[in-house]
Amino acid sequence: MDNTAISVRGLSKMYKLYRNRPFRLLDFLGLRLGKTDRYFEEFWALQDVSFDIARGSTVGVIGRNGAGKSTLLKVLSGVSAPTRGEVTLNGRTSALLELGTGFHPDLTGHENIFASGLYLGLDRPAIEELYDEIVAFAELGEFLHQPVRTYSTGMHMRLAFSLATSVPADIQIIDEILGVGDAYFFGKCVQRFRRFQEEGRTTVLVTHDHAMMLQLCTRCLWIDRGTIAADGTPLEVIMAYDQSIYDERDRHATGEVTASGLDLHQGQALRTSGAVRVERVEFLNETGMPARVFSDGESLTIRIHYVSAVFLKEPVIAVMVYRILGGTVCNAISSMDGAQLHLAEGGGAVDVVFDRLLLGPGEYTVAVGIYPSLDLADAVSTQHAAIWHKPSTFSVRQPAGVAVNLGVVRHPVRWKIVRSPLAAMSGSGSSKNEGKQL
Amino acid sequence: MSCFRMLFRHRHLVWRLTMLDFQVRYAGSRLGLLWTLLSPLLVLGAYLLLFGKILGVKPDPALSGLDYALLMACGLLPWLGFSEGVMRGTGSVLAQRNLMRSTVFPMELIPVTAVCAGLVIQMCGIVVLLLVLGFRGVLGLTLLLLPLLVILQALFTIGIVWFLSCVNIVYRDTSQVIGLLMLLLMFVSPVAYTQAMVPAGFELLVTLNPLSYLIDGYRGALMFNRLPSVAGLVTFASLAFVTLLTGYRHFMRLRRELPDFV
Repeated sequence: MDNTAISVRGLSKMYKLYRNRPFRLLDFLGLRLGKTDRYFEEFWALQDVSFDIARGSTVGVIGRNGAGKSTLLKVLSGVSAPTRGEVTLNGRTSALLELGTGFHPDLTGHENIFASGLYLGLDRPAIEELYDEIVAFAELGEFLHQPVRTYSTGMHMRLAFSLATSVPADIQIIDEILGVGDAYFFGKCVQRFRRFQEEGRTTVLVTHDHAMMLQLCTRCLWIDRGTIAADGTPLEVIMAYDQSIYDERDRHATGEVTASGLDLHQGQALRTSGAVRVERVEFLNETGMPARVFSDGESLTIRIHYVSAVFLKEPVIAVMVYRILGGTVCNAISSMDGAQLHLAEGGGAVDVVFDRLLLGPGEYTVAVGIYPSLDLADAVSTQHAAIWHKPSTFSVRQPAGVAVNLGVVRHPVRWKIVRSPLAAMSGSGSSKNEGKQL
Repeated sequence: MSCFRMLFRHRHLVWRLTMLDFQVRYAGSRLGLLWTLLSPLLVLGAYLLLFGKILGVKPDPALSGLDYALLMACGLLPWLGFSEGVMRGTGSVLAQRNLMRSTVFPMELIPVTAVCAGLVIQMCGIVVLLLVLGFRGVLGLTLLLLPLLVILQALFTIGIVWFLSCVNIVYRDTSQVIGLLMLLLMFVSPVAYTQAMVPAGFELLVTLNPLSYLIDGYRGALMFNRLPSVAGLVTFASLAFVTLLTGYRHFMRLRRELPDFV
């Protein structure tokens, strides 16, 4: 059997932006006098997009507002017709593009389940069969028998999501609606998506939630101005996307005069000329060999390979270690540690050594910044000469025989027994253990 | 003919959607389905008062007050069914735009559902009317024509709303214009009067109005045990088919583009 669930070839979608309403009506009725550009301007929401999606994969779509994500999903699900190109879907498709499709506000949740069933092409027995699952997942409680207009956004979404994903389908297409759920519901969604992956169901979803993307998706598409800007693993694509957001911010920041203006210009000059560049980052273990997996307590060396056209005296090098699912774990900043480094003309490497890793089990990634000088009092510094922010991860393994989540830090601690205040008040007798350390 | 195949294939879905339409319409309403009988009765009462008492319209001096009421009901019920179907049908696709924007539901069924809902209301009234007529012993074999008349009316109305519901998406004033047109059409249709009462020089109003053939058909079949004129029936039937097929072609041609317009 063919392993492709979705195949898109040369897909383009054009929307007509009409110059005025009568033109819209005339064009709609097929009565067109003269040239078309008198009637409307063309807006290409998607331009020549091609990709294949393998069966059973979960593909996340990211991109800025108006980039064409929703248009892509609409065309994929067959709601909107492509202007050019082809979309082939191998299998039964269900789509959840808008909240509460076909929900009648005055009908109860219970009634709406059956009503939506009609719109989704399910007859009554089919809905009855799925009913218990839908209700259980939506967890509406007594609201199930209240009109939908009384629902909160979250309840509305839970019912819609539960319905759309309970429908038997080979391919499901979900626009960005999961954002309104709470953490508990999010957890349930994650489990459900895992099950779909095991069942071989193909999912395409739009989300701005990077954590969700990293947890759920096997692949990520970044749509920018109607084209695919990047296509790869979620980590790669998200980092490239974030980088573009930083770059954009940088561009907008250009020309601003700050208190530390001189430094800014120095940093900028180096950056724009590309005089200083971080080439790659390596993770080395105790024996000095490149490694990706470490145990806590081991030593980790992050080696920063740089290229520099100039000799740079006492720059500040900052290494940020962060969790892939969000959250900075620690920053190593050379000036704070009193390290006096120089960048050699031509290039070289700088090591940051973690003698004893105190990080908890999990996956980590790093970002590196080189600054001609760094004012630590300035929280949002754009004075860097070079920034390195590419997907490169190391992980700390879970200790054998431990299944519980140990958190981000294995902080060294001391334990001791303290005489309980109640025992102290009752006074006599039980003073044998006092002050004894375990 | 794909039009008929489509309608036949989805007949169960259309029926359930029609029931859903009533469910939605009367959700939270106290009298609920009773309104389907109550509203034609109230309209009939108002018309009787206006035309019979105030304006003193009398098709035939021999006709009793009750007979005039029944005569009017024979015309009023199909008229209400028709205008209800057209008015709700015109706005139906726009009202369900969410459905169009986010599912691949066959939207051509939505106007059909609106027309069917109008027909259901009409048929509820007709059943009551038949009981009264049966009680008075005026029913005859021509009653067998009733299903044919209802079907022709349905096809005609569906064709109209397939066209209008599309136009309404781009030109939202359509439903306002249609509401006004329906009001005018009501007065030039032989609802409160019979063709025979139309003064000389105004016959065109009747001959050019397709509804006059329909209403005359209902009136003849239900009340006078009289077969409709073959010419009249054929005229209306051909018109119904042409309207249906034209409306269908129009709707299907635009169907793929519609989601981009809402």
